[in-house]
Amino acid sequence: MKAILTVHNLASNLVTSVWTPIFVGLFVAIVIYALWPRNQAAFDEASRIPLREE
Amino acid sequence: MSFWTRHQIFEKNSIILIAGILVVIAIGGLVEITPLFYLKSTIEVVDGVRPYTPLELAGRNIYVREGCYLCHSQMIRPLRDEVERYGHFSLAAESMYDHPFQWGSKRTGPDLARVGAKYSDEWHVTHLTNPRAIVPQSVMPGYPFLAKTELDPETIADHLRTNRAVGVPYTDEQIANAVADLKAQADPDNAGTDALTKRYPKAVIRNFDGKGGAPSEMDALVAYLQMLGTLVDFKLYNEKANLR
Amino acid sequence: MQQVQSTKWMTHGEAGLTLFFTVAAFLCAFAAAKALDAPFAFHASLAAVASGAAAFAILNRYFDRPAELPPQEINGKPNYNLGPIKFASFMAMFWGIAGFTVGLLIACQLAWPWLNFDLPWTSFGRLRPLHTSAVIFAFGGNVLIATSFYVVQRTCRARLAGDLAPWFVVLGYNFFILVAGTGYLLGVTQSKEYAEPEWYSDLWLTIVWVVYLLVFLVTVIKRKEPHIFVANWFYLAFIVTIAVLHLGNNPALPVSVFGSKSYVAWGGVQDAMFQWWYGHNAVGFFLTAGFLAIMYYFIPKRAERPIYSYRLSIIHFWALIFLYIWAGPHHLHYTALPDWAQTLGMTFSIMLWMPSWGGMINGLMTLSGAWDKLRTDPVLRMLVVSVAFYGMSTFEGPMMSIKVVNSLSHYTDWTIGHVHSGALGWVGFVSFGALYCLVPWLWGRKQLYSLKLVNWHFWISTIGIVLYISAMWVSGILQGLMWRAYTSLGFLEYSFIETVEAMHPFYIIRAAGGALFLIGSLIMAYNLWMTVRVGEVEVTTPLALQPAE
Repeated sequence: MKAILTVHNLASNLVTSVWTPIFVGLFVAIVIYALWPRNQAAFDEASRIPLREE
Repeated sequence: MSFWTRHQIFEKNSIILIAGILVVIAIGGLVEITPLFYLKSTIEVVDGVRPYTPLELAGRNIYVREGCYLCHSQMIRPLRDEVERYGHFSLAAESMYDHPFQWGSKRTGPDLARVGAKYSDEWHVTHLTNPRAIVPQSVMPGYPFLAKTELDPETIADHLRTNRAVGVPYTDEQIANAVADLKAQADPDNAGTDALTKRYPKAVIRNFDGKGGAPSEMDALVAYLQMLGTLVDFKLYNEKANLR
Repeated sequence: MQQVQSTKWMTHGEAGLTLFFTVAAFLCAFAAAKALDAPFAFHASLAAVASGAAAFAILNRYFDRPAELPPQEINGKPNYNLGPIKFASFMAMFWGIAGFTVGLLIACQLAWPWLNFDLPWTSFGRLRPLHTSAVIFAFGGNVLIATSFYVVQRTCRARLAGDLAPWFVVLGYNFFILVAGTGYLLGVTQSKEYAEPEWYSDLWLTIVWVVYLLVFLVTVIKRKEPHIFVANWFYLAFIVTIAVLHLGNNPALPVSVFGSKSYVAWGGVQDAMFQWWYGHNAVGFFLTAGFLAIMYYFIPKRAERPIYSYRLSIIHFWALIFLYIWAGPHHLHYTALPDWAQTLGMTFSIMLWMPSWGGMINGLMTLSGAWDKLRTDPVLRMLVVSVAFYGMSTFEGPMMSIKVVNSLSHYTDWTIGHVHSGALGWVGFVSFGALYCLVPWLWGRKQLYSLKLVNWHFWISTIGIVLYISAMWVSGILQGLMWRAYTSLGFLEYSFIETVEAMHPFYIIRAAGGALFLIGSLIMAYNLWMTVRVGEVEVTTPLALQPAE
């Protein structure tokens, strides 16, 4: 039990301090990746996967 | 790029996908759960809360077994009407020895957090056997078999030992005398009653199910119900010190 | 069968599993003998018999099968493994009807308490976990396993990984349900909502779940289609997160390894937080992420239209799984849980509205260009109405998680109304829609036995849901208001029993709604049975059909 909690505390301190800005950056990166025009074709293609009849 | 290396990139993607999922879902849990273990303010500083006596623990196991938490909550909220209807709002300290917690999430029946010493033992025994005999509009199931089923006191010591392993501060002496304490609590003229009171301060000792002989499941359940919410003396509880 | 080519060898899987099950059979028999309480003895002997049967079945299959295992591909086309999916689909319908029936019984018990019969095995306290586990884990679980195994094969154009593993997952999972369900009736419960199965059932589920993750993941890894389709992200998130939640919420120490009673490692307020971190995310990942995966495959497939915005699904996926985890504390508003945790839970629950509706918009707008199909195809209508119900309950949820609203709704029937708008409306209907699509494909039938019956099912069940939800809204808000009502003289206006008495008419309406929903599912069972029995076999063989098991 003690070991779990110490690991938990370390991770939790990390999370509550430095992670928030990193996480906002991560989310913005995901949005940019998703909306990036260059990926547009690949995504349109991907959205048709269930419709492909082998 | 040969087919193999191209495939490896996609192969890694599914591993990256899982790693990403694990990281993203870990954040919420870590931030919300871990501090509760080390922030001092999580559980109020209060005296009077003690581990359950063997008979109360047996009663609590019946409460769990019959699923009473599905219709009854044990958590009085700090709202005006609840405090007036049920009593002082529940403290985190009052359930600190509950493995698992019994706060409940539905009130088909009334909240039981402070039902202790509110009704007589006879009321509980009659009500549990046939709720509609006392409260005609009640939708509660009857539990007539409780009074007819004897408790098996032999294994109660193991229950205390397991509770201690998960964090409840039972002493060696309490565990050693668990079976004797269990029998003593349901039989006022038992020799072991003084030792029981010494080991468990303010333990209520009565013949709960009104029948002699070995303790029954009804004894245990009523003993548990009668102590709910009675451990903390709110005249001495320092509200200011525990503001959080 | 005479094998002509190379001699037949037992695969590692077959040999290993046979050994494992034989040893397990003896261990369970030994445990049954030394059992401290009757339910444990019953479950241990049940496990012994099941292990023995499993070992025998594996050996039996080994002697019957040809030397080579089923090929990965047959003349270029993936050789899909449909056997386990058929079994899981059948069990989904079976447990669905069982779960709805128990739900109807306990609803009637609240209206007419003599239906408890004053017996331990029939009292509401033991039947309610049977109902929730049957409809969530048995019905929902089998639908998720069946659809995930089907969708991952089709969208990856690869056969399911593992030879015996898929059967181990499907049979192992249903054995877990059998043990958990019978346990509740015998009083074996941890009393943690939606995590009631005791320690040995939890251990068995952990083993089955790890194999489930491996089968799914290896299938994705050996895919022929480079891109991992969005439905598979949601399935992966569902499987991985449920594993984390299960392990986080269920650490318990048994009093004895030969007894069913255990004590949970967490206690009091920490246990409350762990429980509802698990509880809300069982909804978030089991009943939402998993079924969103179903939506992302079956709606485009049935409407024959591509997903509305694949880019939106990327954003909404990551936002949903990040935000959902935080929402647990909205089950503990105004309790002894510290205020900072409650406020965190509320804030994130409100933010959760956006990714949830992102999913709804993506699902509904996939119909653009195919809206007319709603008039002619009741299966598609069921799938689309399920997304509408998803939108409704994921709007109601964030609203109810606002502390002041929650102070009225908590502990009342309003919560039950919210739960069932999501459970019957979203999970139920999307599962029915998926099964209506799956059964003809799995058994190679041209189409369903009767679309008219699907229409009957749709309308009867929809009316049932509306009755259920509105009855619970009215009784829930009435309950909340009566509890807090004061007379002009400043006294509490109603005693508790007066509020219980006021619920009676709504309990009857709710039971009627549940009965309609059950009747709808019976119509469906008949329709699916006739599809398999009488349906016209598909003439062209689009995929290499499995020899009839």
